Parts: sequence; structure tokens; C-alpha cells
Amino acid sequence: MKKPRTIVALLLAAIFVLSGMTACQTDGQQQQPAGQTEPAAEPAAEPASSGPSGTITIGETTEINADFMTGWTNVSPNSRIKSLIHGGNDTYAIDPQGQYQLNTRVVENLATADNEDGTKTFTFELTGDRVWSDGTPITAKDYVFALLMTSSPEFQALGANAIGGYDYVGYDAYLAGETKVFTGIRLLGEQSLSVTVKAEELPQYYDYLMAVIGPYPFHHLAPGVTLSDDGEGAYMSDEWTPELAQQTISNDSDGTGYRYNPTVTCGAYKLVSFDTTDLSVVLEANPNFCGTWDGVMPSIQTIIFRRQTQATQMQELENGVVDLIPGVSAVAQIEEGLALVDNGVAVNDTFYRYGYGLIRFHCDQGPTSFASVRQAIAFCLDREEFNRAYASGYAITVDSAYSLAHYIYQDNKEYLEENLIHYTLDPERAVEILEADGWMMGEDGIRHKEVDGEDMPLVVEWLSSTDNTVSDLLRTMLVPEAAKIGIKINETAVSSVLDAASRRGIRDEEAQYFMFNMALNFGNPDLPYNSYSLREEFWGGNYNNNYIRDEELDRITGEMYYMEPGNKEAFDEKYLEYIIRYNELMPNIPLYSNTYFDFYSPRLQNYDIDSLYDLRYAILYATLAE
Amino acid sequence: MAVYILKRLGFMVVVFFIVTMMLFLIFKAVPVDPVNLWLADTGANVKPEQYEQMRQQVISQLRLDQPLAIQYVYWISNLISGNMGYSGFHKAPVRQVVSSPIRATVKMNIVNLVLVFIISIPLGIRSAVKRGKAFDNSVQVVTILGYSLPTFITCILAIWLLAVKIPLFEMGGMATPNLKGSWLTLELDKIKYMILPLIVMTFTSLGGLTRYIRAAMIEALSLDCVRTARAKGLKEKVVIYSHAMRNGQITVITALTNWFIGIFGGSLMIENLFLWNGMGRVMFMSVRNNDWAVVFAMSMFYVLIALVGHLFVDLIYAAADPRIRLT
Repeated sequence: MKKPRTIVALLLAAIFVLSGMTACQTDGQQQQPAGQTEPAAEPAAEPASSGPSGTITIGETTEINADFMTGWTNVSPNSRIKSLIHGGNDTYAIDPQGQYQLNTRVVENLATADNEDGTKTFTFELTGDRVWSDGTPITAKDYVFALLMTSSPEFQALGANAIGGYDYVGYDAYLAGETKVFTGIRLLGEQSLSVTVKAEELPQYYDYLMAVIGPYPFHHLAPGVTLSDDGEGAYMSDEWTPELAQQTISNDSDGTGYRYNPTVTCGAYKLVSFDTTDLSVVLEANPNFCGTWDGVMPSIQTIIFRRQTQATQMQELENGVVDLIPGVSAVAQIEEGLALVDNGVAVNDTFYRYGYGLIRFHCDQGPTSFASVRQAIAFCLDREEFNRAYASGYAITVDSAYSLAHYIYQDNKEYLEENLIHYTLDPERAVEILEADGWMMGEDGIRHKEVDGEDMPLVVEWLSSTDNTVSDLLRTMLVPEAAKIGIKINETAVSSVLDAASRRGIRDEEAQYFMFNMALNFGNPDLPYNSYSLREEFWGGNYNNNYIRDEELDRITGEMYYMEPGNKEAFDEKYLEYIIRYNELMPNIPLYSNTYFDFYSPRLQNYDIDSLYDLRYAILYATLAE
Repeated sequence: MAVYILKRLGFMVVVFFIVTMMLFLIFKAVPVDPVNLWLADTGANVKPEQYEQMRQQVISQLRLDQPLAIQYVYWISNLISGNMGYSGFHKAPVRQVVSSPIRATVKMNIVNLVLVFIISIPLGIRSAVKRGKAFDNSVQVVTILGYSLPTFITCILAIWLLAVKIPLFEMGGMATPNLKGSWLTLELDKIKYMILPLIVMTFTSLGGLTRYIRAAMIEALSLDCVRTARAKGLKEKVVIYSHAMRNGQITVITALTNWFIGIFGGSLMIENLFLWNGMGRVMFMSVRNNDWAVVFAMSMFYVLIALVGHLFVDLIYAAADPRIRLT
């Protein structure tokens, strides 16, 4: 009787294990665009030599997610992929200098009108020879639909950021569902549309950014819906419902939602598959692509985005597993990559980061509310040495709100060199600045100042992150130097998980910490008004996160932002004024502005990148050697 | 038996609800603003008015403007109906975020489990039988090495040796992207990617179980019944596999079922270094990205697995050992 018991036990255990096996029988699905068949049984033949050919594999250390439509997430590889599959048909395009230009491949004619009520209308006549990847003509309706859809309550109900038409007259009422008619968006003809920008958004130096519009395939995303304009504004028929939006955009149950599987696109490439198992993406050249703004068609047939780890990424380049690794900034990987370059296995291209790592101060409370203290702390750090230790020379030190990639720096290098305070390790100067501002050394070895009749010790509470090289270096290079001249920096190290939560929230009145090590990337174009405005709605959060109340900075950045377009000289003058004011105030101490490296196989040619002209654009001009 | 199972199922329901409440409160106490996470990608790219509007939208969508009790009721009713929630980081249903990783992890763990048991049971038995001899000492050294070397080092060494220096296997990933061919070709390709992480996983897992079985067998071999069997002149194989092994089987069953309960949890280090898109990596990334909806849902899933798993352990014990009675 004992044997059957053992057999039953083993059978039960086996069933238990097999039940788990059954659970994983269905392997990771590869999303296939609807209508496409399974791959052929034999390896696909390369396309004819006249068209695009060859395959390039791009290594990505950041995980690619299933999101291929704007409105939800925006991680860097997905941003690249979205640009490749949806880009190219926007009304404006980026040129190799990183500047926006009217996309003459898309726009036949642009007319602007300043209206009496202070609004401004951009009227576009579009070229009529462009088609979607399924062959359907691209018309003005697709552009108008894109704006209506991404501003609609139906889109918002999908959890998306419904801000597509935020700048236009009538947005608020349209989003709120009060009206079906979007008065600021007009469908004027088969290839003609206009948008009218709200008066309160004007004037703006870069006002054309509010007229950068791209299309979405109306026929594919809104089947059965009609889009009309009776003279009051564009609107969609009642068939456009949350249910339809859910079905065509967000349906994830069978992988047909456009967000996850955009099958009808207009970019240089088409999404062939996203493998949910190993998170790789395959793109293929779109034969219906209209060409770049300067009329170029991509010459590489297939682009594969493949996940990598930093630890093995250069070995994968050496072994030919990947052909291109973009944006490498870690020292160990740069040196491994440069060794491959020395051996002729790889080629590299570099560009300056359009941003930097920094020490951020909260400037409205405590000792760091005094510019003298912030300047003194900047004079307590040998930033050149910091950079050598942190980035082994693969980063540079700047003295204000610019990177070496900024045109304003490149055009005014000498002026800035002469007029900026160059912060380096200079304890004597730090003491001079502090004493001139009334910070005197106390018996406790800490400086003090009388503020509003009360004694304020020079103690700076610093919130740092654990397991962070920048924190480690600041701890050994800055804190002891500051202590020598009577600045006590108290460190509280928290896990990066809690880091953000420990910072001051948007509406918190009291600051607990005053100094942070963080990083920022400038926008393109860089408009710092949001970051230094004194307006209440800009306070804290993502905007004035230095909590700095400086009327001068507010005035300069405001004048930059709300300047009439066209007068570049006046704009640049303000820009320089801003950089110099920032340098005096030191709301942030710039620490390191990295040099980024793209490493790639020598068979990839004509691949020219820059700080504002990255893989998304450069790959369209690249070729593969035989 | 049926009454026992029903009773246990009843307890499981109660325990499950208590755990859901506790976990809900714990996750609510984490000092992270879920709205900020939702809007993290938005950053300073939108105007403050837009940001505030989006903020209010998210608060309303996540029902953060409702009392805690209502939030719990909403969450638990969704969970019961199979809706595991919505990932703030991925902006996608949790089910969608975890479905592929969980399959990948289970697949890897099951193959690993089978391999480890196939190797460690005979190894443990033979080590016990040859206790103190060269074979036993060698097994001890090798298994201790796998057991004590940091997994990170083992992974890097394995990649360096078997994928870089002697390129027998792939460095990482789960399949060759854009590979075209027959079903068999595609499956073989997947297996090719699985081998190296599997070797590392098996190597690092062998130590514990082999030593566990060895200890159980040493104890079993010293039992009176084994001595009697030997005295009766039975063959050594019969003594070991029929008499001693029977007494050691509870150990094996305990190990097997405990491993099964852990089958849905991935190895963070192995998955990260070999780019195996599994649950260890997902959980780590979710914690790192403050994506508590995923952590929360998966914690609940693991609780459920543990509850069911322990019921199965008890049933298997009762089936294997006549001395155990379930009441």
C-alpha cells in the first residue's frame, strides 16, 4: 500500500509542476500588424539594389516599451522609434543644426495673420502628393483630425495627455466636452487648414512651435466618422466616441490598438514587429515615405532596436550583434568603445550633452536663499578635478545655463569668457564673498548671519542619493572644503526611490532640504522663462524648482519668451543677459556636461550626429557599406 | 480530505482579504506621489495650467480624491474581476506589463527546476553514500563555489568565457530579432539564448539542494531500518533507493514544492545581465520607478501563489507519508 501513496505524491507534484508549464505554453507574442502574414519559411531576400537595403541593429540600454503613439510614455528608444515611424510629415522639421525649419516637403504655402483680437492664425497649404503606408492619400483632414483627437475628452479618457490643441482658441471648451466644434482649428479644403493661437500665448519669439502639426490617419483611427467644418471650426461627427477611441487606439487585448501596433503610418519606417518577449523592435523602410525636408529617402531597409546591458554592450558591437550604440556616456563603456575604434572594429562620433549634472539649491529659505552662500559653495569645489574624477575627461565644466552645444555659447564664446564669473576652488574668494554679505565665523566653527533680527547659522541641509558617484565625490571634495571656511553641509542620503518624494512638493511651504545633486537637459529651443518666473503657477514642481524669487531673472526670461518673433539680435542679447544673471545668482552649480559617444560599425557610413541632431534624423541619411 | 480542503480554502479567502487590506495600507503609506509618476514624462514641456489640468485628470482617474476605504473597495473589486490595475510608469494595464515577463520567468524556472532536481538528487545521494571520499569532497567544493560566488560574478564569467572568448552561446536576449524561418528554427533560436542563463542558474542553485539531499540521506542511511536491510543482505542499490531514499523523500518533496512556490519570482541579477525579460527585472524596475501598481498587483499574486502552494504541499505530504493525517 505504500507504493501507490508514493506514486500519487509524485504524480501530484508532477501535475503541480506541469500546471506551471502549461501557464507558460503561450510564448511571448510578436505583434504583427493586422493584415500581414507570418514570416516566410525562408530568410527574407534583401530588397533590390535600387531601393533601400541592408539591416542595422541598434543597441538600447533603456528598455523599449509597447507604446508607439504620442500621449502616454516617452522613454528615449520609443521616442526614436516614434520619430522614425510617425515623423517626416510635420509642418516643421529639424535641420542638421538642430533648428526648426518649415518643412517644404509638406507645406506648399504658409500664411500667418495677426488678428485684431490679439490671436494669430497660421494657414497651411499642404502638398498633395503624399500617402500613408497603406497608400491612402494624406490630406488636411489627417492633420485636423490629429489635433481634434489629441485634444478630445475621448482621448483623455484613455489616460492620454490630451493637450494637442492646447494653444488654440476654443481648446478649453472642446476638451471639456461643452462643444463639438473646435473654433481655433479650421479645415479649409482638401489640402488646406488653419490654426489660431490664443491671444494670451502671444507674442512669443518661437511662436511657430505652436504650429508644428503632424497627421494621424483619420481613415484608420476613426472609421465611420466624418470630419467637417461649417465655417465656425472643425468638428467630428457623433460617431467619434470613447468606445471607438478605445477600440482603435488603446485596444490591447488583440494587439490592434494603434498605440501598440500602428499599422498605418507616414514616417520613413514602418513598424514590423515589437517582440513583447525580449522587447526588440523591427522597422522596415516605408516605400510610401515622402522623403525628408530636403528630399532624402532612407537607404537602410531594416532597423532593429535591440536591448543591451552596459556590461556587455561593447562586446556585442565587437561581435557584430549590434551595429550602433547611441549616446554612450559611462566612462568604462567609452573607453571600451575607444579601444574598439583603435583596433579598427568600430567608429565613433561625439557630441556635447545639451544639459548637465548640477547642484540644485532651493533659493527661498535658509542660507541658500543668499546668492553669496551659493557662490561661496561654488568656490569650494574644484569642478575640473571633479570632472576628471567623475567622467575621466569625457565631460566639460560650464559656468552658467548653457552647454558647449548651445549656439549662443558658440557665437559668443569670447564675450562669455570675459563676462562670466569662473567658479573654481578658491576658498579665499569664498570667504570674501561671505564676509561681504555679513556671514561671520562663530566660535562653533560655523559662520552666522543676523537675518531679520535672528541668528542664522550657515548650515546647508543636503539631500543626496545613496549609491551615487556624484554624491560620493561631493562628500569628499566639497563638504570638507566648505567646512574649512565655516559652511556646514549636512548630508541626508536616501534611496533614489524615495529621493523624489523627499524633495519639496509643489505646494510645500517649508523646505526641509536646500541642496540636491541632480541633472537637467535643455529644451530645444531653450526657453528658461518657466523655470524662473515669479508667477504663482510656475512656483515649484516642474517649473521654478529652484524656488528663486529674482525679479531681474524673471524680467529677462519673460522678455525672451514674450518677444516678437524675428529679431534674433534682440533675442540673443537677452539670452546673454540671462546667462550672466544666472552666473551671478548660481541657483544651480553646473558640475559636468557630458560628451556623448555614438559607437558604430565601420559599415555604417554618412552617419553624422550632433547634440540636437541625433539618431532619429541622422539615420535617414546614413548608408550601409557593401 | 474534501472537508479539509474546503476548510483550508475558506481560511485562504479570509487570509487573502486580510493581506489585501494590509498591503493596500502599506502601499498607500509609501511616501511617493503617484500623480507625479503619471506625469513624469510630461515634465516642464507643458505650461503650468496644462500641467494642473492633467494633474486633476490623473487624480480623478486614480480616484485619489476618494476616501481610502472607497479606493480599497474599488481596487479589490477590480482585482477580483481580474483587473490587476494600471501601471503609472508604463501607462498600460498591469496585466499587459507582466504577462510576457511572467511567462519568461516561469519557463526559465521550470527548466531550471527540472535540471537542478535531475542533477542534485543523484549527486546528493552519491555524496552521502561516498561521504568523506574524494567524490563527496569534489561535489562539496563545486557546489559551494556555485552557492557562494556572487551571482553577478558568475554571470560575467560565464558571458566572458562562453559567449565572448569561446562564442558558444549568445551574450544576452531571448531570441534573434527579425529571424525568419520555420517554427522549429525559431524555437531552436530561443533555446540557444536560454542555455547560458540556464547554466548559470543551475550552477548557482545546485549547492543548496545537493547539500540538503546529502544531509537527509546521511541521516536516512544511519537509520535502523537501513542497517537491518543491509543485514538482510539486500543489494546496496536497493538499500539506498528503496529504503534510505523513501525516508529522505519528504525532504525532496519539501524542496520541490518550495521551489515551485518560487517559480513565479525571477532572478534579478541573471535576468538583468542576460537581458531575460522576467519578473525579477520587472519587480526591480517597478520599485525603482515607483510603479507601485505593478508591485502591488504582483505582491498579491505571490500571496495567492503562496497560499495555494502551501495547500498543495500539505496534500502532497499526506499522500507521501502515511503518518501525516489531514484533519
